[in-house]
Amino acid sequence: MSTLNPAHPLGHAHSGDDAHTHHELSFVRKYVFSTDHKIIGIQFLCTTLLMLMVGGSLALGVRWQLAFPWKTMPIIGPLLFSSQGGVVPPEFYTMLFTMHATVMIFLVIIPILAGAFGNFVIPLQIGADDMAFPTLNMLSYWFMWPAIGFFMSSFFVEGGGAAAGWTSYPSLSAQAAAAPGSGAGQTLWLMGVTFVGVSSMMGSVNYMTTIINMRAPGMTLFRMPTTIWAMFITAILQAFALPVLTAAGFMLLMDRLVGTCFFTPGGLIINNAEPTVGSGQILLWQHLFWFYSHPAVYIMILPAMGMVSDMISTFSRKPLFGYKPMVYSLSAIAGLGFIVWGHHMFMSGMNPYLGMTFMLSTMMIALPSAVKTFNWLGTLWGGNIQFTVPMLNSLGFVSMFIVGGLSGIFMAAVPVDIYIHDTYFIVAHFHYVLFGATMFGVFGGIHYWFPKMFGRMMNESVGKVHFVLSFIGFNCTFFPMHLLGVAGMPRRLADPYNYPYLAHLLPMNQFMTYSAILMGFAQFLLLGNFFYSMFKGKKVGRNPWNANSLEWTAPSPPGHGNFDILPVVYRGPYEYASPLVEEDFLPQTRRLTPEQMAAVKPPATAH
Amino acid sequence: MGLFAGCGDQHPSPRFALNKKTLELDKIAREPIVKALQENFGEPNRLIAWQKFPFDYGVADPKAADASRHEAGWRLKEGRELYMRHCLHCHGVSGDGDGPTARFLNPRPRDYRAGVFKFTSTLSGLKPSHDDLKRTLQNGIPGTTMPSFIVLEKGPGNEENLDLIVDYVRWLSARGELELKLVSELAAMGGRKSEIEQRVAEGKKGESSDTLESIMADLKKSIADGFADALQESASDLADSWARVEQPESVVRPKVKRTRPDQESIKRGRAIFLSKEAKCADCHGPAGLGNGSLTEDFWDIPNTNPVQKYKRPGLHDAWGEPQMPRNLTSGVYRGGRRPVDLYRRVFAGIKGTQMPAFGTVLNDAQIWDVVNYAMSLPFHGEQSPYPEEAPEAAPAKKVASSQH
Amino acid sequence: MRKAWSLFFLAAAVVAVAACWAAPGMHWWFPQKSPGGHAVSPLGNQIDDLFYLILVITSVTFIGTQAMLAFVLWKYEAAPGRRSAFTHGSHSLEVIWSVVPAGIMLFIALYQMDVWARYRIQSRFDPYAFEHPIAEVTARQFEWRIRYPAPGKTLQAKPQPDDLYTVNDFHIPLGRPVMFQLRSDDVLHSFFLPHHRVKQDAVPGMTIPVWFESTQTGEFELVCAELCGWGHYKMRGQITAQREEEFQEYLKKLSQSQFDDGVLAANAAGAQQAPAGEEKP
Repeated sequence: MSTLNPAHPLGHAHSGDDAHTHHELSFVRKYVFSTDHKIIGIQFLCTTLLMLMVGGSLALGVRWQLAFPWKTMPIIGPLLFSSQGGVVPPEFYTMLFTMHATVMIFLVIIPILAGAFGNFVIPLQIGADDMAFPTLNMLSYWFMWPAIGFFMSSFFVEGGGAAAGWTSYPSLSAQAAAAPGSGAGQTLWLMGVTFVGVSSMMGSVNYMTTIINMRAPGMTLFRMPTTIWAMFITAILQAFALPVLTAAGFMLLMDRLVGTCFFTPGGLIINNAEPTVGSGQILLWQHLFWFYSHPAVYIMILPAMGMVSDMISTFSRKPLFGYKPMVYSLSAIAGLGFIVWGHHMFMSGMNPYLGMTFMLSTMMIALPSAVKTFNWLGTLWGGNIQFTVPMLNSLGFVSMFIVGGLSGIFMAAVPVDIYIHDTYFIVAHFHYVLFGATMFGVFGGIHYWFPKMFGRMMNESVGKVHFVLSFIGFNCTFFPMHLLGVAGMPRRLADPYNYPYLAHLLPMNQFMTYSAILMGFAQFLLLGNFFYSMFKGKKVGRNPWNANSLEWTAPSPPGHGNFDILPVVYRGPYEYASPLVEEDFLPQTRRLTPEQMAAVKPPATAH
Repeated sequence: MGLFAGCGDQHPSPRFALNKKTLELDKIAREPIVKALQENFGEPNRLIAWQKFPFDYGVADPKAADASRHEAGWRLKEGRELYMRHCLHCHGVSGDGDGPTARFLNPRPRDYRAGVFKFTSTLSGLKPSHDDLKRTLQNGIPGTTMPSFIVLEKGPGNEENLDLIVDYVRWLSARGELELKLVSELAAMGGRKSEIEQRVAEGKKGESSDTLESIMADLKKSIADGFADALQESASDLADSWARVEQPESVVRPKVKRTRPDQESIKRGRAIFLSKEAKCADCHGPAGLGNGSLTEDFWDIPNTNPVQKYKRPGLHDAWGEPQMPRNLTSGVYRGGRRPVDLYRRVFAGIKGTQMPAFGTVLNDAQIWDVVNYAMSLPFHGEQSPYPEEAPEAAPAKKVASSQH
Repeated sequence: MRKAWSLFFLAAAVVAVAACWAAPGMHWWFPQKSPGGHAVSPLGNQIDDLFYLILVITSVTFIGTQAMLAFVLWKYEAAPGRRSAFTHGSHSLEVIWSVVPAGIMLFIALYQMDVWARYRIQSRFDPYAFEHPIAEVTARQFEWRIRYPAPGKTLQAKPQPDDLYTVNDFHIPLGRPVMFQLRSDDVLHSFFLPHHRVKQDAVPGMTIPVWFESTQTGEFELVCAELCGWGHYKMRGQITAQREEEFQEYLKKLSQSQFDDGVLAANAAGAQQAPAGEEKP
């Protein structure tokens, strides 16, 4: 009796692991401190969707100031700054964009990909009954909450939340006197990041172990869906990169609390505080931070790439084009991802020869991304494309990823980066990758696996409206940022129009803000659809999409222990339109008799 | 009196906050002040240009290309716009130095309402001239968070921007100082809450015949009799003090030119610096590091009865903020680095601070010696250049060779 | 009806291309001080050329891939009774679309090296400019403080008694490379000249030589491009590019006003003007 939806008949089916199913679990153990990977995944999903709304509101605050500088900000203005006429002060603006990025990166994108989808999908797709370390998995979710607590409470301390940008470059972040948000807010920020790091690390260890050890019989490495490959590589990235950030965070915390000076050179007089002592290095933080955060950029996209590959293949009803090149390029991205961090620091004053090497490695990392894009197009070519909501979002992913990938070439080129570094061109680029690509991948994933999560479908029409509004709103908000960047508008300015050469860009920024508001409100459609369908959606069986991978052979929703019949894998996950069978899909678990095999001669494949 | 509406696109509209001292008055005593300020100054979005003050509010210019200048008072209004964009966050809507960002800054932004400004070219005790404030806007105040706004007056159509801000600041300062003056008038009439409570308590104990009603009746009568005059008088005084500083005789001007900053002069300056008459070293320290003995004493808070002391040791300025005597070896000069700036700091002191005026104690030659000594301190006694000896422009030959 | 999705994705790409096409005419392009929005420095023009080179390459790729996407969505939408082609990929295609982009990327990277080297590698600096930095620019919250050596002297690392100081107002001579030392007093800042395409972070504890050359007289914005605190947006300065003679004249005037003792200037100006006039620097 350990199912999500006890009303569903399939949920009662006898599960694979008897040890877990034969005793009643209390409500708290079943739904709150659950060790079931599916519940944890759904917990992650709901939490991150909530945080998505928080991060989105912060973004709208930023957009408001850019479109209507020094005008009464709705809601917040009259509430906090009524004596100023509801005008937010500049340090509030710096806090808004810092916390927007923090929430979106650490509390939305990383946990929604690795935490929500990683948890839910990995055991199901490899045919395991749960994660290797269920308790660790539970802790991984619950370590998010101290982080959320630290981040949210930082809004209420003297000086407000951290305001040194999500990159938290010292000495702005190291010296309490440097900015209002560099007081208690910055300390809380560092503690929050540490907890997020611990949470991710637990997940990462778990995923690696699970994928290596707990695959179903017959599930060789090259029969794993690309989602699993992406999650696997992401977990490796996290395991290697995160310790560096955690160490750097501790060093910065020590600088702030104990008075060490890893990151601050001596003799700086900041806001007439006592001069700093010691001989730390400002650039050391940047190196350490980006040594984590550049791989983190890939942590934020690789799982979405994997998921999208699955969805595109499923809804094209065609095998994934170039499965192995896809896997190799995922690995290549991960490998190269460790030697490109310096491209965030071209203008930082580091040795210029390093700029040249980092430019070369950065150019090379564009290559696997290009290969992936061509393979997605190759998958679509000659397919039988079904425009379902997950497919539309996946196509949105491909379309937007092309833009984000191509704009990356501009900033990879050091001389061009001299000009566009720290302008809105950069903001456009990473929003195209992180929102345009990843978030559309996530939207697709939510619609795709929702029937497996709850045994019900999300509403198709609402999903399509949500996609169209998000896609239009997104492009109208972020595409003009490329042009702002070319016009030389720097990031993070509370009042860019203070500079005469930017004054004429105000109307464009207003247009972008209106688009952002449209996009923001469109997300209520997603939330509404999500929660409504959870209880009222159309009920479905095990395999509503006629897909091949293992999760679709389990009940919807799967019980504790996942599979009622132990899956045995006979082939890869993308055998759509196989000539061996009548249907246009051939599940990984379906065993074909020798007669069936002999009936049709399979065409020679490249791999 | 010119009345004009401001832009009404803000909700809630910004308001001029009342001074804390005004809030110490009883409601009845507060009322006439609030009314006087409302009638004569208005609110940020409804400015009133009181013609009593010698500020240029902007004469109506019907031919101006900019339609907003067709009405009188446009300068004040444009000054407000600039102030609200560039100054508000630190100096606050009412110029009380308490904008949202202010509490994170060290030193704190100036509270204009006392009518005291530190770095001026004028004689001791006088207000700053228009050009003094403009100079501060142009150069900023090095070593503080007051940045330079010099670029605001660059570019066509912006030439007057800093003047507009200066005039708005002077108007804000006049408004704030008038409020303070009226508060002390009404306090003299017995309008303080604490005083009223004390008198009521005494009446109840039978020590006097006062009752709340009688006190209030007295207060109302005093206000009715005297407030209108007090208002006019205080405003006139203020207007005079602002007008006076624009007169040539208000400006500190050395009578003799700077002494050549040779070692002799520096030595004499050092002697004066250390002397018992000038006592410079008491605050600035014997080596000019700003660590004199007086910086370690606990000082009385002025106008407190019974006398209270500041919680922190060291000097405090007129705004009650801790104040460090300048470290003269740092080469950072908040009031400007020209010899004449330093001369004025010595001659007229720094207003609102413990730096006294030496104009009556030292003669010009002595002041120049002190200035020469101070200017040599950042360079370990090396002399600073003398204007006549300032080297000529770079030789043209080198420049020519640089053309490639 | 279903073809609508192909058109939907196509429309996004078409609008994007159209927006870029229209951008220069709408002033949504490089900041304009000179006709056509060209950079006002030789290196800046080279940077622009590299930008346009990448723009051409990426535009071709963008149009190609988006057109392909729209085409496959148009052509291969699901139809009853149809079956997809059963293929797992093509080795030769993989090779082609790995090698060709690799070649292009490598070309871009190698082609860009020289401009970067000229901008940042000290042995490539103009020797005269390198040995005669015209000023030290110190960024602090929230202004640019500029220290020139006295006319005819060379800039020293430590302040000299006869150094000349200005704030937010940086004058440079025209028509030759000029180099200055960039420092920071407190936190990170970034010295950004949008019209000259110059950018360099100012790092506390480091002194970084930066050079550029202005080919046009006039006044240009100086922007802080690295978050430096609450007043980051306030940190606006101005570059004034002048002819050599004017620049030397400017330094001379600066020197005179900086060592003004309130007597000489008053005498020079005579009693003709209101005394307030003397105060102006």
